[in-house]
Amino acid sequence: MVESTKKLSPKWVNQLDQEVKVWQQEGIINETQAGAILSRYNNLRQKDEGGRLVTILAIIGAILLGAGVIMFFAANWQAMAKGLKVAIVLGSVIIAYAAGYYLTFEKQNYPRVGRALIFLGTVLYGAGIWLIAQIFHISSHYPNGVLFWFLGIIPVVLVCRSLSVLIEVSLLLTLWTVLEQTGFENYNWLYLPLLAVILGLGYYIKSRVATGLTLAGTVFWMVLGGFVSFKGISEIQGIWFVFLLVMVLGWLIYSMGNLQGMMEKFSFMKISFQIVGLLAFFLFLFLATFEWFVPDFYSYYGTERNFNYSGFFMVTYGLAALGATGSGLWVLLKGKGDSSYRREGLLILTVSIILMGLAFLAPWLSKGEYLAIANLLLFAVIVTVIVMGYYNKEAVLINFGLVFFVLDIIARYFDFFWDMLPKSVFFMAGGLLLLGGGFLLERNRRKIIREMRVMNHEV
Amino acid sequence: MRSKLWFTLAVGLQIAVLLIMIGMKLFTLTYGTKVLLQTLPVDPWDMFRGDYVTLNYVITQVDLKKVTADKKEYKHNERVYVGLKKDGKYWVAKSVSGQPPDDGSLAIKGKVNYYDEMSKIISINYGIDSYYVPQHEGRKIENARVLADVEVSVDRWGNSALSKLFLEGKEVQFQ
Repeated sequence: MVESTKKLSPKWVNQLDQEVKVWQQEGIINETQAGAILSRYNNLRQKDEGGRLVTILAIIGAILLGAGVIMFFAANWQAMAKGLKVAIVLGSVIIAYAAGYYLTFEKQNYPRVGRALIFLGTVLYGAGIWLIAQIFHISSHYPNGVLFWFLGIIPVVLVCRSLSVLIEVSLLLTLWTVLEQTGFENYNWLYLPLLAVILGLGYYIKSRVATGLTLAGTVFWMVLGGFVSFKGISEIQGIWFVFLLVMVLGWLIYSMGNLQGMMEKFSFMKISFQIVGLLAFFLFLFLATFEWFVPDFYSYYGTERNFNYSGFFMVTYGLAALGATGSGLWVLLKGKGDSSYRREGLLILTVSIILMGLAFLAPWLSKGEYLAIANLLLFAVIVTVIVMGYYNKEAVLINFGLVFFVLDIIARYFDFFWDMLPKSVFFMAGGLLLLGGGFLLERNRRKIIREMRVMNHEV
Repeated sequence: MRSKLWFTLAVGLQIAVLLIMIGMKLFTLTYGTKVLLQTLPVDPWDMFRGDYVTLNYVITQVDLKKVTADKKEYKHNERVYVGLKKDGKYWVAKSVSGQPPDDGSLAIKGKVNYYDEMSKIISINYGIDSYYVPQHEGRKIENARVLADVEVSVDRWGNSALSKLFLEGKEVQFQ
């Protein structure tokens, strides 16, 4: 039996089946050997694609049914007595759970539909909170409705190990902090301990998707917290600093992915952290290279510097940058002797130190210096990430690097040539550049990834 | 982990949350003192947002020059108790305090929205400022510039619950 944490997909097993047949025909292996090779991957073969389709259909059904119930109430609102409404709300929650439990665990003949019914129960429970608030005209602090919703269904994740409910929880966590921070302009510190709990649940049921979605929510928390903190003290200049915050957050997440990559037990989560971290880092660094967002720290009236750091910025930025630096050092020191860890560690450390320096230097820089630094940093990290992805055989790095390389070129093309060239020439030249660039990139990307596969096999 | 007991407990927790929500409001509605509050004229365009009426009470804005207050300054989100007294048909604010009254008199609990030092006016949110109505039902009332009176139940801990909405003295009922 093969551990499923190794990156082998059912698709790969199907290909193997056909290859083994050919080997057998060519006399490379005999029938017993063929049987031994194939039986090694039996546990991967059991995952049938049809089952996943059933799950997806059942979940969509549950969402539609839940939405229908909410709308039915909204429309038939005062036609029913309060008591009847309450009874229907509670009754529908209990029936959905009971039926789900019966089909999944008791009878065990319709586990997928049963799990979808349990998911429906969690949706109906949330709907119940809002309906009861409506019935009794409760209007105090509405984000609490979402808070009690996802807190209430966490036990279901624990008991049933349900991925769909965990995804629901992690999306509700993000929704809650967005409502709380936009509606009431606070930092919502309670988000952090709850985030830790919900990330823990992702490890508990070993879901990369749920963990990735939960991590992505941190970007919302950081952006909103940053804007709230700069409100009233340095609103315009604050925008760029919020970008800087998300960059360092993304970098922290990426570095934590690498850290986990070194640990046998957690290495399966590396990819979620890498994708979310790099996406946040590159996206906001890319935004920071646009002239519109670059702040002017000198007031219009003279040369007096005019910028105040917010407390929230200093605390979160400091902690995130320290965390990333620490992870970088750890990867560097613990992975001694291994050149791929050395490369990872050095990259993490260098970027962390540059980000820390930027936060201190920023208010003293002129607009031009700013743009130069942001553009240089973006370009340098893109190139480094592509090169490192090639040497460390990590396709995700190469793909991220190439996507942002293309975006960067398009953006700079617009920046520099929009005013200079006649529009027709601008578009024609741009089109040719893109087509040509796309052709070259596609050919080279395929080549690189193919070479990586070959190298992997040699290893 | 598949045990029925744990699953039942998980579901039971959710039912308990819903029942507590209901129970708290039912308690306040049943055992609380009924007070009639006057609302300020509502701009008809603002009145119906989605399917609820936004109510702006006279006691939402309390002038600290006119009532007794236990503090010089109030912070955003601070919990306060507003003492109520009957003045003719309506109940009005008589005091603002960080503590519930110890003499058993009626006070409604709220959170400070903001405090304006210049005018000494404190704005308080009591969590009873939305009255949900059926979809599209509110349109009729929307065009009429009317004053709304609201019957609110206030229990001895200061919790409040909306019970009835009156427009021009008539109770609003949607059937």
